[in-house]
Amino acid sequence: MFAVLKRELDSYFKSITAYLTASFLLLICGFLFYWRVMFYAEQSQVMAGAPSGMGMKLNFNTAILASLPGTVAFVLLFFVVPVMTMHLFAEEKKNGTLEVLFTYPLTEIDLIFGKYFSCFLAILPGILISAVFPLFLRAKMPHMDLGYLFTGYLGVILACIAGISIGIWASSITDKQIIACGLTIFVIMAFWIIGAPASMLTGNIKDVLTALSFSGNMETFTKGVIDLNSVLYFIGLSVIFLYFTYSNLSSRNWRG
Amino acid sequence: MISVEGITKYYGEKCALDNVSFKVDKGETVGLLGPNAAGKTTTMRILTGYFPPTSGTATVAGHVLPDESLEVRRKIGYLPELVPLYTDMSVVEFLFFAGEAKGIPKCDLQNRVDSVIDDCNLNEYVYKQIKTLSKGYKQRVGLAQAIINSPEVLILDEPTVGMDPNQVMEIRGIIKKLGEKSTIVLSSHILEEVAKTCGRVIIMNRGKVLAIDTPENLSKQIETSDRIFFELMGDKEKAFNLIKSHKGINKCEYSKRDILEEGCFAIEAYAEKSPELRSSLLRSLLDNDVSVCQMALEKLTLEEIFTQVIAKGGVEGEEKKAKEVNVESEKEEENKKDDKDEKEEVFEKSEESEESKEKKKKAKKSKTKNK
Repeated sequence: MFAVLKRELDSYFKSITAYLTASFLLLICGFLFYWRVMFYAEQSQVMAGAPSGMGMKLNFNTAILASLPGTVAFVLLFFVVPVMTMHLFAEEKKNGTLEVLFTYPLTEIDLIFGKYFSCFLAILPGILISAVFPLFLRAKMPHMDLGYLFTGYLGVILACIAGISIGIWASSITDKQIIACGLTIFVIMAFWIIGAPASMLTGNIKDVLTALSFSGNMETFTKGVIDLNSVLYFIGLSVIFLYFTYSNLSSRNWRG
Repeated sequence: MISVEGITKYYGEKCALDNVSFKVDKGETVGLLGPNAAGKTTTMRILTGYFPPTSGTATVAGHVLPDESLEVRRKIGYLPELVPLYTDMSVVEFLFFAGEAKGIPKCDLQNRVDSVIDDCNLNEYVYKQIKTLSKGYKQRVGLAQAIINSPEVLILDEPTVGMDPNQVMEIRGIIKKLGEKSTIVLSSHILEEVAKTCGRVIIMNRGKVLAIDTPENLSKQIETSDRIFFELMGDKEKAFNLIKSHKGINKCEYSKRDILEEGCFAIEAYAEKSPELRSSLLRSLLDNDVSVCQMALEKLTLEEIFTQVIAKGGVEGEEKKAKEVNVESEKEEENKKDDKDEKEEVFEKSEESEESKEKKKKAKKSKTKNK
């Protein structure tokens, strides 16, 4: 497994893919963070000028810290993860190197986890750098609650591992990278928007749809809560899609 | 070292291998020879543990497939037909990766990489990216990754396909050298290739083993027959009957090939290997006012060699089948005229395609009319 992990990591950092996706993530998230901070500052000034008792109380933690992980998760899942995972098996299938790997003493699990962890490790620096943005404001915001940042980024990492497993599965069913990329975006989008109708519904259906949605489970983390159900949701989703990948790779035994 | 017993492989409903059995001894270099879709690659993939057979078992280096697939993979080296490589890596990086993936201990890895670089003459290209290498050098890199774990069994799928003659010679030299250390199974659809590198040849076609023998013995079998191509002018039927009825001619048919000269027709005849026969045939044609524009002795194609190998009973099963068909055909033909000639043709008929069967019938009819 470590040989595969090392090769994939080398491949990511030798090509521009890892740098390009990380730059894009930091650019978008950095811009949105800056825009939110500026808006917050503007609003603060407005509220400060308002007559006593008339102003609305602004909270930096909920307004800024809680929103950043949501933005990071969105860019990650809809851009970074599909681009970073699309080649993982599709390229090997197209070039025929998968046949060589299966004649090495490697199991399907070695291959899947080698690629899975390499992709995660290649994405992780971008996520961690984005978490540094709020820390620049720490001097001016001494009451900043870093707990929001911690739980939010825990949610980002969990959503990221679930997204990578979807991407790996999509890459294992085709030898065309663009199809793998499109399929990853489609499946992630399906999981993201499945919770949207929940706001219009009531009762059990609302609970089920919220429990199944990426955005619904992400929300609990951005609110500063570590919900075990949400943790299990992302881990469970990863396990399910990694199992699908395993089944796809093993299908050569009967498909040929 | 390798023992294949009754392996059958289905891809869905398509049978790729049908009850294939053979053995390869330690230190042998054996060639799998056959046209495309003969089942060579499927056999090799099963031997490498890439996928299991539908039924049957194979033992490679003392381990039974498919149950001990991982153990087998530790002891083999495999070079697939299209030499898939990670082209974004340099030669040395790729070899280190292959070594690590094959589980070579870190302390031995550097020595093994140096050794395979020497064996495959890659010293000048160690730090070059694989994508910049020529086809011949990519093949060497493929061979190097296959032998990095000092495999007991080396499996090479069409190792010289698509190469120029110089590269072919170089790769053959490397394979011969490797054959001193490992048992080698290589596949090819070129007879010469297998004859020059292998001690034994397994001829396959349509998922079946047709013959297993040394290249010398197979060549002897094959060389007992010639194909003579005639481009003639004159009475078409007369010429055909003259050739067909000539002593020593096994088979005769109108050629489908384009005729160079206008007004000519072409006939292909299969005969015993004999210059006397050809000269008497030529004389007979000229004496009967048939103009001979061209008469050429041609090498048989691989497909034809396979037909001959089957006809000569290379495999017991095939022989039995052929005999069964023979018996059935003989019964059918008993009521017809020209009994003696019929029996000679029946054996051929059992192995020929439907198309050639029809042709024969037509030729026979014309012969009967002539008589």
